[in-house]
Amino acid sequence: MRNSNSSDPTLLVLSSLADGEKHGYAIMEDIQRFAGIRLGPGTLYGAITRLEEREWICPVESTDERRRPYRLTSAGRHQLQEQLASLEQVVKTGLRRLKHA
Amino acid sequence: MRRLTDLAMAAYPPEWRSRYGMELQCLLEDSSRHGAARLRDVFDILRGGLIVRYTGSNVVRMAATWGLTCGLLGLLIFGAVALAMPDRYQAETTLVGRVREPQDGSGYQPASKQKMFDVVNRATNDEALARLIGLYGLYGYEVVPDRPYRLGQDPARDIAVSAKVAEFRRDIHVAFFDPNNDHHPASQADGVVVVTYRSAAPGLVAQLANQIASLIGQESLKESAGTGSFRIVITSPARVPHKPYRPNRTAILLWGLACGAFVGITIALFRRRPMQLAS
Repeated sequence: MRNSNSSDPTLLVLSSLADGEKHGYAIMEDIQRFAGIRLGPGTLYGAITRLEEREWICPVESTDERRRPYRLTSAGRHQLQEQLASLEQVVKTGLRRLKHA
Repeated sequence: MRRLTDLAMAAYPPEWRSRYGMELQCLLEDSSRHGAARLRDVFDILRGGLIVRYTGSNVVRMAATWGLTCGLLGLLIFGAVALAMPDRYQAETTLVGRVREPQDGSGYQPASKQKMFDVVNRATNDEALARLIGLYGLYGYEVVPDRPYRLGQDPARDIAVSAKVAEFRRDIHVAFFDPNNDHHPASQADGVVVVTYRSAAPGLVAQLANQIASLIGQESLKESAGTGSFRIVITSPARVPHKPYRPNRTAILLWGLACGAFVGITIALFRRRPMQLAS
């Protein structure tokens, strides 16, 4: 499994698409809202390009070509679950150790 | 700001722009409408474009693949050329020139470069070289040891022999060292002439280098008219070479590899494969 952290743009995009399809600007706004991170346009579309190449997300047919939405594929959903589980393990361990320190 | 972002978007490869360009443009317009367009977005786009251009399209992998493929091709081509090239051998004879001192006539001083040059020129005239060609049957010429051809006997044959002599001259190299100006191990006290002959036959190169040197020695005797006031003598005769001086096959192969790799990398950089976009 690929290492990731909570500010990894691909993880943020996958997380944003977890509750449904969104286009570029909506993803950027969503990420800013839930993670407090503003992804730059180049960074966002770099992540979208990589995720599409790996077939973890796919574009959705839309009448507005300029605001093409994206959605998670089943492989993407599986990947997101794996990455979040891994992060959760790190978070749990860290919190537990802090408690005992 | 729009102009700047448009400029920055040029950093992306064309195939990427045709797939995502409109979407990115739309995102920038939306950001701008909500007052969120910033200068740092321009840098972010520029950075993203360069990343896509140089990693997304695997330009490094392509350059390595093309470089290696063309390098191996170059190696094969240059290798074939190197194998086809005939071996060339060279042998050299060293001579020293001395002039008897005029004051007491007992000692010798080094002969000047000019004096030796004149003697060598006379010794290696066309007539003398044509005789050697006939004697050894050089450059495809028939061997006539008993009756060597003399220039001037037959105009038509003169032309053919002159061509052989010109060929012979190209294989002879004579270097002059002056004790006062040039550095040569043997030229500390004497003027030095080094005669080098090059040919495909290792045995022949030594014989001919020594023969030419011998002609020079004989000419120096003529120069002094038998008085011994000037002489050029062989100090180090030519020996049969053990290995060819040319071609340097290792160097040729390395050149082939380097040239091929250079061509391959250039092709890879100028003919980048379109990006494999998902859709």
